[in-house]
Amino acid sequence: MTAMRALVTGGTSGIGAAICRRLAADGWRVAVAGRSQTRADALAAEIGGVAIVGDVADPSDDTVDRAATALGGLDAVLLNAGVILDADLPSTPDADWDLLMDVNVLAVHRQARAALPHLQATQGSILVTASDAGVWGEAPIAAYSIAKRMTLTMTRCLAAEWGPAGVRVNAICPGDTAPGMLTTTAGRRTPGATDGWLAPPLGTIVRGEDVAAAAAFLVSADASRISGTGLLIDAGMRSSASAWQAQSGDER
Amino acid sequence: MTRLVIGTHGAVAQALAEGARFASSPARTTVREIVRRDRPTELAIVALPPSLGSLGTVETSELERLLGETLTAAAAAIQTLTELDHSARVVIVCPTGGLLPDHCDGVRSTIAGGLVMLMEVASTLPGISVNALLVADAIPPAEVATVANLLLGTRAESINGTTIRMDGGHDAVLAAETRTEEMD
Repeated sequence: MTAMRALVTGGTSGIGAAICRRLAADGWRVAVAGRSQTRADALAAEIGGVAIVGDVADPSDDTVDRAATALGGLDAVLLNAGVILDADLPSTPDADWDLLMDVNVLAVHRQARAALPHLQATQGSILVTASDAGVWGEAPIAAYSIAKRMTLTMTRCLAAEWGPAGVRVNAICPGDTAPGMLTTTAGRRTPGATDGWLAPPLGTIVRGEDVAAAAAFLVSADASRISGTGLLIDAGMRSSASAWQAQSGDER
Repeated sequence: MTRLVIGTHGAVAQALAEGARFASSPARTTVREIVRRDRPTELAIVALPPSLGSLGTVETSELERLLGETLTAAAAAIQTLTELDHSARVVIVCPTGGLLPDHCDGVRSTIAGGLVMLMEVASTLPGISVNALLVADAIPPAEVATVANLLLGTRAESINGTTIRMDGGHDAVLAAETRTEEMD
């Protein structure tokens, strides 16, 4: 049987790396895309994939086309690259606001459009990494919440627009995940530290593998009738207004 | 009370701007200068540009342009407002796609989704209240202004962080507009 082929942007670390490993374990051929040649090469070698180096924020970036060439086509494009900023709205510098919009919104739009002809040919799918913060915002990461809400809206619109072409478009909405963006983005807390995170109702912080499992399902044939959804993987954190108190027993 | 209306977009902005200062073509730096100068206690941000159609057909540069003219300008206005040492009320007026996306109007829906989240995170900031008014294109500007005036006024002080949809019930349920068609 011919292996399915996937591109994962932001695939060299955190959730993206977990997705690459899961897809490879499921038999996919994976293009690991990221800005770091060293990390992309290492993970591609580990999983038997190919490394694609590029910066999705660059309007001339051709990561999608290069991945399609390298793999001989694409059955799934996972637009996972993203950046986060720890700042409420008044404290968000213009440059950081622009970067968040460039990477988390505009690059997703640009790369989704680039992916369409490849996926139309294979009746494949797009999976966008959004966030639980896009479902229910968080003031301390205001610009990130705004960008991820836009990502979710974009996912739903593209699902309706491209459904007739046989292309599915979905999103995953991870909560606090380790290892993930919260533990790997430069300048955020102590890398690897999860202390101070609120415990979700299930009592355990989401792992990269948990998010990868959801991603693998949504790009698989098992999800062939699922499009336009934003799947929360947050151990229940967005299930209730006071879900963060469930584990501590502090409910009113 | 000092009202400032920011927005380039047609009759709704004009209706809200009666007796108020009005700033069009809101570049981010210009917005900041105007807010600092006028020190508004009522700020209406009108983001009702003409539709650019669906996301798949528009170049990313167009999405970027519209984002800058609407969402980025709105965020800059609210950021600047928080620098001022007084309370203020803000209303963001944008298309209904910010709640229930319309893929035929995907560009505006995406930006409106961001504007709704902007309202939600900004509503937590001290000293200001922020609400969103989502309007269908066919709603008379005067009717929009009536509701916006309520949200901007002191009689609605407990309303903060909420969204009001003005679409005559169009998006209440799936294909609600068919009811109108059947009635015609």
